[in-house]
Amino acid sequence: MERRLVERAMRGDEEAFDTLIDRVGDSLHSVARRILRDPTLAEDATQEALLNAWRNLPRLRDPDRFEAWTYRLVVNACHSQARRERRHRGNLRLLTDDEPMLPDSASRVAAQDQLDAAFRQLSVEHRTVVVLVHYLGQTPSEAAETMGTPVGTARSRLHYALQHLRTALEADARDARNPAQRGTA
Amino acid sequence: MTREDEFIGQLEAYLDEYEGMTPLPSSIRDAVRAELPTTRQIGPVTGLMRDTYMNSSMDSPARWGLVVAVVIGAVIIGGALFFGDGVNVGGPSASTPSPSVAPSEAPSEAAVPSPGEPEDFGAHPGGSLDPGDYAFTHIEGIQVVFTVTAGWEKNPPDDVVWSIDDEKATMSARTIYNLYNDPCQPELGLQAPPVGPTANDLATALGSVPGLTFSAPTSVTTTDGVSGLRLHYVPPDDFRDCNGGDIQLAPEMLAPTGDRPVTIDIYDVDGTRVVIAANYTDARDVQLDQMLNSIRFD
Repeated sequence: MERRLVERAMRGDEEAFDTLIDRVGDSLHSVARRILRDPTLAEDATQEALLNAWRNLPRLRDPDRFEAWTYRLVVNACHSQARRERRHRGNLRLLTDDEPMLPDSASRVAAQDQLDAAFRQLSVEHRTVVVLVHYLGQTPSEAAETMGTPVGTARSRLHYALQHLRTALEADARDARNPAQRGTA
Repeated sequence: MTREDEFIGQLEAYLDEYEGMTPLPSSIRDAVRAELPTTRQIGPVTGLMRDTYMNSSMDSPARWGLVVAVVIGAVIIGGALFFGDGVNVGGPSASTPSPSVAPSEAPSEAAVPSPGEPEDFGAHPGGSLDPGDYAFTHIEGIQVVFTVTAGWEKNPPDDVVWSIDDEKATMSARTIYNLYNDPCQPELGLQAPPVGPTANDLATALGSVPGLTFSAPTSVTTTDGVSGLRLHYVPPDDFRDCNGGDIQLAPEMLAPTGDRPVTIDIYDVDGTRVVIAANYTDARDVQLDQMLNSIRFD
């Protein structure tokens, strides 16, 4: 990210910030979509993160860290949106199995479907660490910083999330090998 | 390719392909742009503090040391120019002004959180905190709101408030799912079966942590009426070399060794177990109590 652009925005230059939105907006929105798995909530989270970035930008200590910082803001915004949504739905987990699948999921391979279903079952916090590490390519340490948690927390969340996803895939593979057992108690 | 590689490959392909590229809708861009002129930027800490505050590589004592040194220097030079016949830095002065070493950190109006609305602690970029209400927002479904007085700061991670002292007092909020078998040897693994889900379960389990003596749990109530349990412990002397200087009760919970007391408040909030941990220092006992007693859940 161009340091001068960030510095201009830090001094209140709206045009510079506008350019920054063009540079990071798509990526932030993609991350929010994958964490929240709800288009409307993801849009709200991205908007909240961008406005928070504008509001707090003069206090950013290191302009070179702008992009990493915005990921942190969008993760916080995703968690805020999830919290509001959960309250609205009476503490139900966001987007559970009974919600419609992606339109094209029927044509996906069974493993992808199973992965999709298992990913939905994860909490927002667990989805977050998976997206940061396996979509954005952050290390667990970087993901911890983005999430604002100790590294141990990030590692344990990642471990749990991957274990959950792996188990779901393995169960699906077992079912595929033994179709007669499907549906048994 | 191992099965693990195959699994990670499947997962990353799934994440990459998920709905394809999802650009930020132009309506959201336009909405953000439209709000910029009316959204006030929170001003940086002004003048000298801004320069030191922005220097992320400098730790807090060093920052304050620099501030104090420069303020004293400025006062001496100013005094020499004002009272003396010329610049006589370091020499005797007929009239010595009494420099104030208190940093001039009057917050700008823009830096004060809106009345009644706690500032999102996670969104704060770090550095000293203006007195006021803040909210930890990292626990899904819960905001932990607390009141900060002067003399506290934010450093990574996002769920800890640090005192601006050489000896750091801290307050953190976490969800704790399980405890290690041995807080000095986390490599021995987590307890199996895991600690139960309630505040009472955790309080009971803490009472059995090897090597640490916890006080009996007492009742504690937040300002919004949520009841919880409070325990204390003081790290014993033989824990000084524990785990490289850290007592690791849980993956999410690390406390320094030493001889300073630690307070742990445990609340059940809407089905989530929230643990507020406070590491005391002599200088911050009263302020830390105030902060703990200000907690509410939104």
